Amino acid sequence: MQVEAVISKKVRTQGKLKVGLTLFVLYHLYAVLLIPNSQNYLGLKSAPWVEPYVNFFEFVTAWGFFAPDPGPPPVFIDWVIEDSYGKLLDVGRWPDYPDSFFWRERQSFRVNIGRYMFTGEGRAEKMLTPYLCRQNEHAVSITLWKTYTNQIPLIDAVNQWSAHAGTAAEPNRQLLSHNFCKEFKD
Amino acid sequence: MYSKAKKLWKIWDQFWFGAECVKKMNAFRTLFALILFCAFAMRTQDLTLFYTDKGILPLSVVPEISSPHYRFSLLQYFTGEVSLWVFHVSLLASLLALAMNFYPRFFSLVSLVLHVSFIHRNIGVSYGLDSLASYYLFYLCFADSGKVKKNSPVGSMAYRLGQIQLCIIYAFSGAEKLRGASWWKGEAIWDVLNNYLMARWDFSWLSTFAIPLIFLTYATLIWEIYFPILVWTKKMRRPVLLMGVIVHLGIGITLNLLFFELATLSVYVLFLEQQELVALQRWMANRFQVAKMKNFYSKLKSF
Repeated sequence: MQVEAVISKKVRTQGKLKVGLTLFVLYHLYAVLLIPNSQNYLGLKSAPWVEPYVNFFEFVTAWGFFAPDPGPPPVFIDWVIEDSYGKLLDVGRWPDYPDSFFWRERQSFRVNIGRYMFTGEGRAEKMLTPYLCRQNEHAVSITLWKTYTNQIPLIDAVNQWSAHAGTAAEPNRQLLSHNFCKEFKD
Repeated sequence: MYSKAKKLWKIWDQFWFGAECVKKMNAFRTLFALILFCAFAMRTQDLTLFYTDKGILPLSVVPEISSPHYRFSLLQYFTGEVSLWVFHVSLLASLLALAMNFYPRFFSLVSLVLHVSFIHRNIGVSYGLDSLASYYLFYLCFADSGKVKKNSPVGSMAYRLGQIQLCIIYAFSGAEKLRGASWWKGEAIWDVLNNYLMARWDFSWLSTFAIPLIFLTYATLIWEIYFPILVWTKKMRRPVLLMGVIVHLGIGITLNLLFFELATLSVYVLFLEQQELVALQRWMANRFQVAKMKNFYSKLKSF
């Protein structure tokens, strides 16, 4: 009799646990299915009770690997450091290319950051300018340029296959920002 | 009505809470944690650049460039370089512990907290691997310990969530690709390999193989879209998994994304049959001479 009572208690506890887990599974699946496509009315309505969860655990991703098209063409931030007389102190680019890293992942991190800088208004300026100002003690102003090369479409490459990747097209340049270092050095 | 509901519940219960998965989860945990260990160890030389005020993103700028809502990071509260190193080493150590099935639930949680802390400190560094790590470290927090013989409902749920997560990833990624002109034109693989910031080598010579490249693009697209359905069928499970291995290894070798591809492949373990897993473990043990290593380790211990 006692054994039966223990067993039935265990079954009831398991049942309750499973109901709890079912609710969690439904909530979790709703959240992770919503997140990649949350810029709509449903996403807006669900945000108060989904956003804390997905942000806290950083489940925020669109899973758009090489999609809708495989990434932007090679894009760089060219930078120019000048002193108070307008004399050129240093030039460079983010990410460095060609790079000298043995572990290729290190370059991938830099490429990711570069892309991230372009996905938001003024991000490149906010991230790179203070960093460059601190790197060079004589720096007075920093100018940032966005430089990118259009990729050769397959059909063009077939017609002139000897053309090397990325080098055939002329790079496009676009001024991003020009800032003074004073505020970042104080 | 009641009997139908009962039947449905039985199916649900069996699927979510009654799966045989302890060995598969153990194997997955070891592989996944080892891959993450290697991937995160790559950050070691760049810690100051990515995660300190001396680097590219001072803490004061973080709220300006990414939404701070419910995003917490230990690195916001412990800002010194010493604590950064402590967190980094702790993350690597907890991943190693996880790989060895040592207090797996506890170290999954530790790894998850530290991993998310690094992402929230500088979200710009993160990419697909980090998202994958957030999800699967979370699921591993629920997985049963390597020592249990029969899995619990919680462990079974973690296993199913792990399987379904991969299907969700492919479903969204495949559907999103359908919106892309280069996938429709069959030029996406060319575009990827021709991006010299991503590719490991110069692949411009591939333009002489334009037709196979176009077919490969379509094959990848079709495989990715149908994976979430076909992987659950008996007949097609092996072919779609095999195609996945080819695609991911191909990407890992040709692009600078090796760890992400390996981490995704490690999730495939969850879709293997028990015998297949045993065969794979045997093959790996022979390949990497695990027995010899164990022997050496026990000799070292006795010495």
